[in-house]
Amino acid sequence: MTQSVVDFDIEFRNVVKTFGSVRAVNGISFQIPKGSFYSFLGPSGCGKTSSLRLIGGFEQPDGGEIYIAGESVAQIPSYQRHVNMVFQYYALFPHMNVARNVGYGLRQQRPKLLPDEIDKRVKDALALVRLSGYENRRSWELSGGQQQRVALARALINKPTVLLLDEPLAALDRKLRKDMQIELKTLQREVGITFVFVTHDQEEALSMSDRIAVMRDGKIVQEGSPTELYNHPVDRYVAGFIGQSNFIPGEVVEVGERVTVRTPLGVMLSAPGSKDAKPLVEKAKAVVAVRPERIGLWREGEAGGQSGFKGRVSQVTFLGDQTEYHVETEEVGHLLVKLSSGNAGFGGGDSVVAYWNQTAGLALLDD
Amino acid sequence: MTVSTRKTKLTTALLLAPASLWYLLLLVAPLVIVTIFSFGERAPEGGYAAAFTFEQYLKLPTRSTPFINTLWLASLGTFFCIILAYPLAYYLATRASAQMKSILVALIIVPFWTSFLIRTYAWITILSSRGIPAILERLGLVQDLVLLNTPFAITLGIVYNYLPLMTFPLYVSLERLDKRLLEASKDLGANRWGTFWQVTFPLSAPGLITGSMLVFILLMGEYLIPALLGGGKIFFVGNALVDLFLQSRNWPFGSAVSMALNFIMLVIISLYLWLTSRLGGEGREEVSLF
Ligand SMILES: Nc1ncnc2c1ncn2[C@@H]1O[C@H](COP(=O)(O)OP(=O)(O)O)[C@@H](O)[C@H]1O
Ligand SMILES: [Mg+2]
Repeated sequence: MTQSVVDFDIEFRNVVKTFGSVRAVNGISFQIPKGSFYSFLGPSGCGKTSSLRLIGGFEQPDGGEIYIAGESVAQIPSYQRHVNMVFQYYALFPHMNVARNVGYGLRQQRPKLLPDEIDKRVKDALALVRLSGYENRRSWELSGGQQQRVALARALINKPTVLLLDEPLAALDRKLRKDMQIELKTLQREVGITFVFVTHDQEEALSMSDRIAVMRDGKIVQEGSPTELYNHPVDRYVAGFIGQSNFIPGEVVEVGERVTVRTPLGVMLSAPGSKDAKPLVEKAKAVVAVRPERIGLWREGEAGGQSGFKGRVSQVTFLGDQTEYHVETEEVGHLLVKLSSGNAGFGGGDSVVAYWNQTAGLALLDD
Repeated sequence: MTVSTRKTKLTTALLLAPASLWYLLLLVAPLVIVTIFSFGERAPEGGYAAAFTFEQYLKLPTRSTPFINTLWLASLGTFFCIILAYPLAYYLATRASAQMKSILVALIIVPFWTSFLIRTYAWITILSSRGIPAILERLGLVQDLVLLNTPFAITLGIVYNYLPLMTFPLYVSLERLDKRLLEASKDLGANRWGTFWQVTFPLSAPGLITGSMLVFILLMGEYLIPALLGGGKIFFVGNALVDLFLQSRNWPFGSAVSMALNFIMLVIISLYLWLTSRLGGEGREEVSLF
C-alpha cells in the first residue's frame, strides 16, 4: 500500500574515507536510481572498492552520510543491511559445497526457514545462474566462470535491495568476460535489483551500465549515461579514459559559438566546447580532443581543395573490421586514425592528409 | 634417458639410506624385539625366557588402571589445551599488532629455554603444602588443601608443557584464513557469533585436529609429569612400563603392555588420518601432521 517516496536506492552525501594519510574516498556525492545498473569506473587505486565497501558496511565513513533506500545507515552493521556483495575473487566458503554456499544467507534468517523452503530457493537461485545440478560440487572443482555464478546466486538469494559487484569479471578470460557481461545485464533486468558495479575496464562499463561515475583520486569526475560520457566528456581525463582520443594541446584564443585554440606551432583549431564541460576562458590551457574514428585520411595530392594536416603513415595495425593508422604530422603531431577496413588502403610510409570536421573535435580544459 | 633415471634412482637411494638405516635400527628392530618378547615368559630371575604364549596379553586387564589414567588425563589435558590455546591463537592471528605478536610468541617460547625438569620441579614447589595451599590457608579461604600428587597437578603440568604444541598449529590455520570469507558471511546476514561458528571454527578444524593429535599422542607416552607431579601415585602407561621393566623385571609383560599402547596409538592415528582426509580439499592439508 505504501508507496516509496525515494527514487534512489543509494545516496552518498559528501562521503569521506581515509586510511592513514590516504584519502581513498574524498568527499563524493551521488544518487543511484532504483533498478539501475550503475558503474564506478576508474583506474586502480581511485577508491572504487572503498566506495563499495562503504555501502556494504565493511568500512565506516570518516565524514558525510550514506543512505540506503532513503535511510541513513550509519548505525546499521553490514549483516543487517539489505545489500549483498559479489566479492572480487568471489570469496566462496571452501568448506561448503555449492548448495550450502548459495543457501548460506537463507540459513541466517530468523525466524528460521524450513529446510524444504531453503532447498527450493537454492534450486531456483542455481537455475537463475544456469548451474542446476551443481549442488554438491566444491568450489575448487568449478571453473572461474562457474565460481562467479555461484557467488552471484549466493548474493542474490536474500533478494537484496542492491547488489554490489567488485570487478567480478576481472579474473575471467576475454571470451568468458564478454559472455558474462551480457549475462549480468540480462540477469539484472530479470531480477530488477539495483546493481552497483565496479570496474577499471571502460568497455565493460560502457556496454552494461545505465549510468557511470568516472572516478579519479577518490573523487567523481563525471557522472552520466555511457553516451553522455562518450560524447560530452568534461575534461581531458574522462575523454582519455572513456574510449580513445587524440589530444592536441594549445591555448584558448577565442570563446564564442566555437572555441578557437592555438597550438604552440601557431595552428588555429576550432571546435565546440563540451556542453557539460567546465567553462573555458581566453588564455586557458586547453586541448582539442578528436576521436580516432572521426578523422579521415586522403592520399596526398588527392585532397582537392580540402584543408587538412599533411603527414606520413608510421604504423598500420589491422584490427579486423577496422584498421588503425598512426600518422605523424608536422602541424599537430602524432595522430591515431581508425578507418573501417573496407575503404582503407594505406601502407606504412605513405604521405597522407588528415582532416576532420570542425564539429568532430571537442575543446576541453587541460589538467 | 634410462641412464639418467638410473642415476637419479641411485642418488635417491643414497640420500634415503641414512634415514632408512636409522629407522631400521631404532624403530623397526626394537619393535620386532618387543613383539617377540610379548609372546614370551618371564625368566625366573627376571628378563625374558623364550616361549610362545598369550599369557601376557591375557594378564593385560590387571593393568587397566594406567591405561585409563593415561587416556582420561590425556583427554582432559588436551581439552584444557584447546580451551586455553584457541583464544590465544585467535588473538595472535586476527587481532594482535605485529609488535604484540612477537612479544606474545616470545612469551610462549622463552619458558621452554629452561629445562623441562627444572620447570616441573618449580611446579612441585608451587603446588606443595608450602606453596599455593599455604597462601590460600593464610587468607582463610581453604583448609587442608592438597594440590600436589593429584590429577589436578598432572593436568596442570600437561597444559603448562603442551600449550605451545596446541597454539601453533591453531595459529597457522587461523592466520591463513581468508578474511574476506568473514566479510562474506557478515554480508550474507550472519553476526559475529554466527560467523565464528559457521566459518572461522570449521576452517580452523585442521589446526585444531593437528594440535590435539600432537598433544594427545605425545601424552600417551608421557612419563615425567605423572612421576613428578603425581608423586608416583597416579600411574600413566609410561610409568607402568618403567615399573615393569626396571622394578619387577617382567620384560614379556612389559612388552605386551607396550604392544597394547602401540595398538591404541595406531587406532588414534588412523582416526586422525580419516578425519583429515574427510576434511581434505584444496589448500587444507598444510597443517596436517603426516
Ligand atoms: N584497508 C586499507 N588500508 C590502507 N589503505 C587502503 C585500504 N583500502 C584501500 N586503501 C587505499 O585507498 C586507496 C583506494 O583503494 P581502493 O578503494 O581499493 O581502490 P580501487 O578499488 O579503485 O582500486 C588506495 O590508495 C589504497 O591503497
Ligand atoms: Mg578494487
